[in-house]
Amino acid sequence: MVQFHRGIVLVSQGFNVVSGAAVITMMILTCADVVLRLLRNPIPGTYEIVGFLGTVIISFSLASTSLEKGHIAVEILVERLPKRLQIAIETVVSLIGAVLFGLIAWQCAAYAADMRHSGEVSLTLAMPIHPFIYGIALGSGLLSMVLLTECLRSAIRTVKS
Amino acid sequence: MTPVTVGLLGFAVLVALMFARIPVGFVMAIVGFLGFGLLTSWSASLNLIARDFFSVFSSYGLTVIPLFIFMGQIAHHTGISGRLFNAANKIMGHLPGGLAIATIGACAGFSAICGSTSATAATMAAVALPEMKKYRYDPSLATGVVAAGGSLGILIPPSTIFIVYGIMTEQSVGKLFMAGVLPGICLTVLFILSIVVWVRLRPGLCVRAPKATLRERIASLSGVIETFILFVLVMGGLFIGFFTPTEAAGVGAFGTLAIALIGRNLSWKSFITSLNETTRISCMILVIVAGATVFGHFLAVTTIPAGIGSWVSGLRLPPYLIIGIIIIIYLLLGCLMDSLAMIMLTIPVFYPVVTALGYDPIWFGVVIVLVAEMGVITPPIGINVYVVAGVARDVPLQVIFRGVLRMMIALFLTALLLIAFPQIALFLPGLMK
Amino acid sequence: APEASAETTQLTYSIFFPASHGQAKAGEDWAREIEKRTNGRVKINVLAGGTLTPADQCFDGVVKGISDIGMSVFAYTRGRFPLMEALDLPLGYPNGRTATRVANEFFKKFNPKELEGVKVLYIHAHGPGLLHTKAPVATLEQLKGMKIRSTGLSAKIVTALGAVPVAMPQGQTYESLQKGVVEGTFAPIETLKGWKQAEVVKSTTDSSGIGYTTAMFVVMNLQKWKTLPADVQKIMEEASGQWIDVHGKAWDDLDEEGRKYTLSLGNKFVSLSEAENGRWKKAVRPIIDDYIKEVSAKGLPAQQALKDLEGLIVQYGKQYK
Ligand code: NA
Ligand code: NA
Repeated sequence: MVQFHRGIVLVSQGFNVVSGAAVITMMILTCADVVLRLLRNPIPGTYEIVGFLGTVIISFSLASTSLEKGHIAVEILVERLPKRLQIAIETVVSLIGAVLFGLIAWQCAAYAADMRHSGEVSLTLAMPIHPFIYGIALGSGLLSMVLLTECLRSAIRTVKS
Repeated sequence: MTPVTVGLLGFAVLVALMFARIPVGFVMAIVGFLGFGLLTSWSASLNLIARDFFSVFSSYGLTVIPLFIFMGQIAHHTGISGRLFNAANKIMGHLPGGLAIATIGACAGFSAICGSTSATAATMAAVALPEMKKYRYDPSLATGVVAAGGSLGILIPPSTIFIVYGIMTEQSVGKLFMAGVLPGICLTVLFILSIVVWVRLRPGLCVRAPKATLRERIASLSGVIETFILFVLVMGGLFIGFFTPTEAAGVGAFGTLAIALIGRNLSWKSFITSLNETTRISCMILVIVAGATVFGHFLAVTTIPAGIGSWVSGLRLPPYLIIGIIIIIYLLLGCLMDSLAMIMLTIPVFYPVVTALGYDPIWFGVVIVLVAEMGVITPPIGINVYVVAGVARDVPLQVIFRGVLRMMIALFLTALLLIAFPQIALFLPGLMK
Repeated sequence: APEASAETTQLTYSIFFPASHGQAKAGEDWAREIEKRTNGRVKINVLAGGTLTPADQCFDGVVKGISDIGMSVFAYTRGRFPLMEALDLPLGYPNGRTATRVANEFFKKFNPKELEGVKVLYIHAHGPGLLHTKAPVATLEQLKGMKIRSTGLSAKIVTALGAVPVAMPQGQTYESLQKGVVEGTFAPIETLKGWKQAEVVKSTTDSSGIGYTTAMFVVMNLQKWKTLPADVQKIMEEASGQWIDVHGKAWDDLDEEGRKYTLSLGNKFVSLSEAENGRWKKAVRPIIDDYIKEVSAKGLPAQQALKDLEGLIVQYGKQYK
């Protein structure tokens, strides 16, 4: 269990590096396009690549954001409850989140397969779109795993306390 | 169950689940998914969540968020914003709430390049919050000021909401932009006044710096140079037409990075920290936007927004009362919905009512933007508050909401002024041909 | 709201145009007409402005049942409708009624496989996409190197004419023209009013000789369609047939309003000389040839499609003057 959790953390951090790299790429691409456009020679497809980089930034940081408790929640009620109840709630909440992102991962994978089958490509570069949707599936799947391990960990704590 | 019943039930479940400490974006996605499934079919609802998450994550317009946050993080971690606030502190820190006032000024300035409230709030939160914390400002004051100040992003042009409104109602976007200028200035002044009053009433909220000598003040000005260069780069480039407001985020981030590198202020560690903070905060915001989108689609099929609209249009009341009711409806809807979705759904019903009453369409556009500004800071779904909470991780949401509600008074006053004196909005556009 | 009775069918209709747009209104009128002709047995909840499905997900949304009916643009999902793409080529459409009628006849004749998954109610298409610029353009030389807002197919036209294509959302075009990030845009003339861009351009070049169109579908979820009683289906098909010209005329009316609006702001029209028109046509011809080559390679009758389209444009161009 502990080792599994450690593995998940490592993978999440690795994913987050990809996300950060996408931020830098987006920044450089935008600036390069602006400068080259002044020379009347812009980079074709910047507009759509920037959008796709956006999906990479968000989907690859889903898991690490959750590990850092970065997804904002309303604390006001639960923090007043007894510790034991808090952990129990935590268990259920993590499970709900895990199910939600499990669904999203599953549906995005199906959507990506659909997209691939339909032959739809990006407007300017005629680039395939489905890899980016698979990216969301991957990121959501990892987040689901993170939440599932958290659910198990707090379930164990509930039982122990 | 009728769609309306399902919709009302959805609201109740939404609020209940939120208080169970489920992340806000998750809750909206869950309730939206369940509600949409009940009203259409489960297979449609399953398909809906995948498509909504993809369209939000890949939205070109939302890419300003990571880039502006990155710009703010670099400015903070390399000391650029620290030196700026040091100067602000030297110059106006002895005034009550001086730094909070400076922050509102900075929000107004930033709004002139950025058309989105969440991007304005995210950038200013990264820049101003750590500094106000350093100068021991009360968290409620500091975060409330940034979350509310960020809402100026859509009133001072450019503004995404004005563009959407202009297109939906076939009004001139140029005139709408002009119409936002004076109310924007008015609201900025009122924000500042509310800080002054708030701090007067509760002097313990911030520590006043000793009055600096003229020499100290002049010396501190050197800390403003970097920010000034950035401002000229971004504003100048926008003004001359080198790039669009969306691209300004990328140029601004790159410029900040370059200034930090040239000044040898950027360590590898602070670079990595900035990037990690950027991905975390952007991810948090975009997940909330995606959840709000799913929830908004559920609301669209409940027919509630259209139903409210036709109810209002059937009322036989004096015009000012109808305007009042419309504003109250927007406030209520704004508590629960993303502003843009709210406007898309309701303008088609309210707009004909308002113009039939003889109100000026441009004026109503400004009123809509004001209520949208309130919407982004009212609980439980106040995106700007979540953005600020994502940066100020040690401040609980309710503390931010408390601070924000005090700043809301300025928004209400601006709305009242606008109703009493429509000329505030209409004077400048009237000068245009 | 009154409880829907058992035999009432509730349908949702997602339209990507904002509710105020003439085409959204035409779609809304169609929905009301169906309600009227079926004596309220069908109720249609129209959601305009992409509030249910955004423009590029509208078709997929109908297939998956997110909305029952949808109106959007074929070209927003490149590669999904290889044969219908032929309609959007710069073939010199004279007006919206011609483009709309041609699009429907074309669909009827080819009944492309790419639309098999839905019930196609009807298709419509806008009047010629023209060049609108800040500085007047009467020759290819004047256009050379100009930064022109365009996406997908219009970007190819811009490149073929020697200008520089710059992609951005329609909503950002206003500001970009104002500030000079782009120096012009390719769009039907109604855009000048609908998106307020007449405020920030000075001149429209009548490039209708290479006027392209954008074909738009009104489609329904196939399973849902099959659940409708035969007489309701018949009513919907009849109304749809009648609405083809309603949309075509709406496009022409919108173009006329756009023309008046831009003139009222003091903007000018530039017409191309005979010789120049020929040069523009020649410049965009490779786009059409590329299309034929590319789509023929997929085993689709692209050559025949183009031949028929050219014939249809001449035929209906005479009818709808
Ligand atoms: Na702004
Ligand atoms: Na709100």
